Amino acid sequence: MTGGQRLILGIETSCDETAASVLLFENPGESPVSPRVLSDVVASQYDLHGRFGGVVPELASRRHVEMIEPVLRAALEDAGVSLGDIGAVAVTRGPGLVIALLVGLSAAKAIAWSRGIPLVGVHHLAGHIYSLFLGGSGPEETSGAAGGPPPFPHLALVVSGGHTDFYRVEGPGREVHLGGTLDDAVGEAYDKVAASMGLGYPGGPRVDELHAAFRASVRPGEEPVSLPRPYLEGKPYNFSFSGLKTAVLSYLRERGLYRDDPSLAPWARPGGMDAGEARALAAGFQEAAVEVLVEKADRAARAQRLRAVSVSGGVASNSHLRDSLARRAQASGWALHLPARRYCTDNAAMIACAGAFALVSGGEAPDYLALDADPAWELDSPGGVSVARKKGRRRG
Amino acid sequence: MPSGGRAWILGIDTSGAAGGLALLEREGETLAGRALDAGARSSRALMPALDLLLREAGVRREDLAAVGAATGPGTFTGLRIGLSTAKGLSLALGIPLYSVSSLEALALLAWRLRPKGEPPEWILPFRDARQGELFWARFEAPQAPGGLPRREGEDGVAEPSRIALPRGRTLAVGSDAALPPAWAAWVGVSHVALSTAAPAVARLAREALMRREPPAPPGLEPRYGREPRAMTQWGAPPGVDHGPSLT
Repeated sequence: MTGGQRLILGIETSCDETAASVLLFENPGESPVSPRVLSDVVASQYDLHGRFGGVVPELASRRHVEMIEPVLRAALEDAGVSLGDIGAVAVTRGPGLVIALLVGLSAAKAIAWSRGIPLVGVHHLAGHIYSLFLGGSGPEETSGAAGGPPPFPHLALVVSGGHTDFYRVEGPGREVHLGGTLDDAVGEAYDKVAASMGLGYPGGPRVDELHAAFRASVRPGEEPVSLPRPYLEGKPYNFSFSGLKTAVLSYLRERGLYRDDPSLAPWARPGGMDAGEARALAAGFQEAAVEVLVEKADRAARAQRLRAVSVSGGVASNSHLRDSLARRAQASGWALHLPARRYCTDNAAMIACAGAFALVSGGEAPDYLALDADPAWELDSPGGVSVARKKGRRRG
Repeated sequence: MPSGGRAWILGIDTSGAAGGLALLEREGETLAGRALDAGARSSRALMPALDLLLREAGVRREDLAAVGAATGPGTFTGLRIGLSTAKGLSLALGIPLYSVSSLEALALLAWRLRPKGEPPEWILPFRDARQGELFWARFEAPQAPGGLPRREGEDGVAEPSRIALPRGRTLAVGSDAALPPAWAAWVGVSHVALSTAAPAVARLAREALMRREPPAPPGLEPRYGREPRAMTQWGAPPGVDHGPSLT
């Protein structure tokens, strides 16, 4: 690829957001300079899954098929460009819900073929990692952003509903997986705890609010509910959140606040908790989860001898996590890099951005017509964002 | 073969156990086609097959005038891959997308391939709907050999024994399903099995284009024929469904 300006169309449908974005980037030959988001359209499905306390794959797939074209049209219109102006397509090809992935990938392949332009298959977590490089000047594009784009190498922690993973990011296409959760992702624990407390989906924002309310109204002697903090000594890059989640469930069950009965509708299982108790429990859960994330990030940065840490993914929009990370970064002397809040949750601008990096490092898929979704794709490759090596299958 | 001026209609059928693509002349009867791997596998096979089909036929992408997609009922994964691909083609090539009923396409193809002898009065396409049920629809056979079957009522989903069978000579056309045992005593039925109806999908899309029918809206969904289990297994979920919104 030669230098100059280029427009890239990003498409993301791996979970419960149908998203498309147009990104403008300059390519002087090494790395894409100041990618600029021209449009960033996200059709969220919270309305659909909220009552179930988590994503229902069949409902997600239906909504993706319905929304893919309206979202693509909106992204082009917002950017003020036509498909004829687009130089490449970047699409999430894994990991995620397989049918959901197939909707975006099918549309992406058809568009790239129709226009005769390259297509890049992007790893969803590469999207989160490269969300740190999204530039912008508007209030929404910058709100919450901290530290600017991280240097290479840096430590990347991706925290979301599906992932809690550490990477050593040497450069585009050189993301080394250090380790991740051995069971639940931290965002999954948030969602399950919130659902069990009857707080709705996604759980993070509500738990965050209740925790803040607890701190604002706390009286002397009042403590958050005490819950385990799984640090997994000897496994510096791994997490485990299922014990913490189960501890919350046990707390609720013992007090008759949650009926774990599969014959009951998900929305009929929680009930009867008073507001003060909900605040103390949310505070206890969030403080435990965040302390673990912050402590492990600090230890991982030290073990890797890295002085720059990026934290991205949906959970990175959590206020308590952001504040706690900032304090620890200052105390320990590493630089903290956070994406704008807008780019923490799933979006297609980050997919376009990772795609731009892949294009620059020669990662486009030459035979993309037969490209398939890979729901269990693992990002850990010496060979480029789009050609990450496949490892053993991991389910769930 | 003519190649100028948007002269071809593309038919995509990924709704059955086997899929297919068809390329039909806009004004003429030249037809080319390719079989496809079905269901989830059609994700890998669909675009390479399309690329090859056009190249073999000497047709350029810019020569496509419209795309027709079989939108069900059928296998959910296949329907989603086919329709998402068709939407991408329609958007990127700037051509209309027509949604074609899989059962209507089967009826038309069965009519065109009907067994010799006295023509049927009815055509009854059916397809496996799992859970012991069939998707089905009923069409009146055309009066003229070149005509189109005329739909009587909507697509249905039911156990075979509960489907009201037409009286009179009937051509039952199964895709992915043998003639159900419950229909064994049915007098006057002949049966053909077709795996893909891609040529008829292209034909029906061409009809829609010629009649200047409005193309499918961007938010078109497949004809699933069933409610998602999550929406029925615990009764109606509470709360208002606000519907999709863009941010």
